[in-house]
Amino acid sequence: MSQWLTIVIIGLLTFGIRYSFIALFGNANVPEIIKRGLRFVPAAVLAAIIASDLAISNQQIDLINPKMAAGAIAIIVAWYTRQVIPTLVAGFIVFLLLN
Amino acid sequence: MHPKYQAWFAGIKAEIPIVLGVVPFGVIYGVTALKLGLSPWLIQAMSTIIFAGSSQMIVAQLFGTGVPNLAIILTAAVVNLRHALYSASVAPYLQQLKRTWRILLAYLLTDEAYAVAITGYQERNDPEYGHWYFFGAGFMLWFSWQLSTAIGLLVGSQIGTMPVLEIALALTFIGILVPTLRDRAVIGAAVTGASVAVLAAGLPYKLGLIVAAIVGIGVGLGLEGKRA
Repeated sequence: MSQWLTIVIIGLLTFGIRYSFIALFGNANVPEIIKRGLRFVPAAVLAAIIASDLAISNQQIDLINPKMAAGAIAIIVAWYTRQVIPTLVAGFIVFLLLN
Repeated sequence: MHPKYQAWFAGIKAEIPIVLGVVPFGVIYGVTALKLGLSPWLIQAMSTIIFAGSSQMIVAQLFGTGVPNLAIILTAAVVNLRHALYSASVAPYLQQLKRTWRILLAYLLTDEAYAVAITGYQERNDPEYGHWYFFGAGFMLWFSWQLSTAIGLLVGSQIGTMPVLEIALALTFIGILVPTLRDRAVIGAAVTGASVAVLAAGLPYKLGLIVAAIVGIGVGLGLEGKRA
């Protein structure tokens, strides 16, 4: 199987995953518990992505490193400013100072 | 200006700060895939056809290693499984749309477009043109991803890897996530998701992310139930 065919299949599967519930929900009644649970999807998934980016290096847990420090400061700045750009800038500065 | 275009531009505008974190990632992807020996056309096509950064990175790495293509396909699909959660999350807002719209928005449903779109649905009260906002955010992200991949291909080996770029995406997500942490249940879901993701990082194919998300959602529901 060629590399081109492989990426086309991956593309179709990825689209299928993204379309799955969008296609289904139109016809089905969604249980209440699922509807309530969906409210927590952004928080749970984004926090998981952030934590694995910052706290994992070479597949090992590494809690004390410049990335974690940058992330901690970014969280504080994001909490008070509620804006992405100051958060990004503060995190970058801390990261650069520690490297 | 027609309200649908206003919504579209608002989506584009809301996506701009996220794009600042995504562009470095796209450049890194282009440069890395080129160094791994993939053809530039294939690298750019992956950004259009697959349009999912972390799985593209993994696929590029696996292509050079002799892993069977079927295994590569399965790995990429598992890495992208988290998008099913996004699909379920936005689905209620898309129910009334025509199929063409739903297909278009599903294609654009990346981590970064989802984060902006779902916040838009929750905070802007625009049931009539909310999908244009989603489309604006998704389009902006799509355009930046194609462009940054191309930039990576053009600058190629001229730049080394800059460590600071590796945290750009995490910092961007912090900027999106933290302002949405308003009540105890959502904070609980986020803290749990983060902790489980770290503890489960040993699981293959990024499955830890999915486990973390599900446990986080469970804790959020539990905390909400207690309060009610």
